[in-house]
Amino acid sequence: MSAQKRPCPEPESDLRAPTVLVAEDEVLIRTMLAQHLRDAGFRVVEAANAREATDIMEAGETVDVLFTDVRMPGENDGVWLAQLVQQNYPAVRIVLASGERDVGQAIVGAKLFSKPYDLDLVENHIRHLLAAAREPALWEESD
Amino acid sequence: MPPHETKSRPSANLETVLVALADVFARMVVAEYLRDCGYEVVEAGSAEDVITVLRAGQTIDVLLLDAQISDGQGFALAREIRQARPGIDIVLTFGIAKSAEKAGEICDDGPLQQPYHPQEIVRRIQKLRRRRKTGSD
Repeated sequence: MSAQKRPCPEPESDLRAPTVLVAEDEVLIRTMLAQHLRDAGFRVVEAANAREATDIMEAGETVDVLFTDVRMPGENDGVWLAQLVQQNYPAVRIVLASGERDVGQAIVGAKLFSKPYDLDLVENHIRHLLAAAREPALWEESD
Repeated sequence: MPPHETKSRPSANLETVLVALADVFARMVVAEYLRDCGYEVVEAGSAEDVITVLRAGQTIDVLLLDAQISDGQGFALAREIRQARPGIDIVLTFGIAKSAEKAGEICDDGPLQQPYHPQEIVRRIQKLRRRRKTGSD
């Protein structure tokens, strides 16, 4: 293995990489998406179910985008998770995924990717969401 | 490639650690720590997930396995994996202090220097757990 060294990471700052919380119960799908997003420069935290995702959010982890599977086992599913996040963490952008065709508009304003989804398209959509979040809306007055 | 199709990731001269810890905060902090040490990391929260990853042909060099995973299945799982996949270095752990210690040892063998002292792993996990309970820092 390489013996190259690097300085210890800087403390968190405003220049931190955007954080995506991936909530997906199927480990291989979660792993592939998470690795793709990390390779693209995002920080990714993983949750295997809705409960883990809410634990992470409630512990104060800074999350910019929630990517959640709609159908997950357990007491609460991805729709419940997305609705909770939308209500309690309005700054978090939400992206949904589903292996079922007839999911409907589970969350207003959230894009739904049907499985199997293209990882590049997911990445591009997340980048689009983050770019839109940084720009003020046209009707907002500047200070 | 559709995410439901799997393949072995191309080698990047990086060893891959499968972090199999049931506690989501421990898993998250340890996984990020090992990534900062230069490893590729796969996360699993259950014995079933571990088996799924291994059966999919994912190249795993080190398995950091919680003995308490899936209601105490860790020991039995480790025995099975040792027989089926003798090339995997299995590191059994129990509790966050031991998990941090073992993560530090794995990091010592990694390509990059430790991002911080392994004891800090424990503090970060405990901090997340406290914040989860109280909803504040």
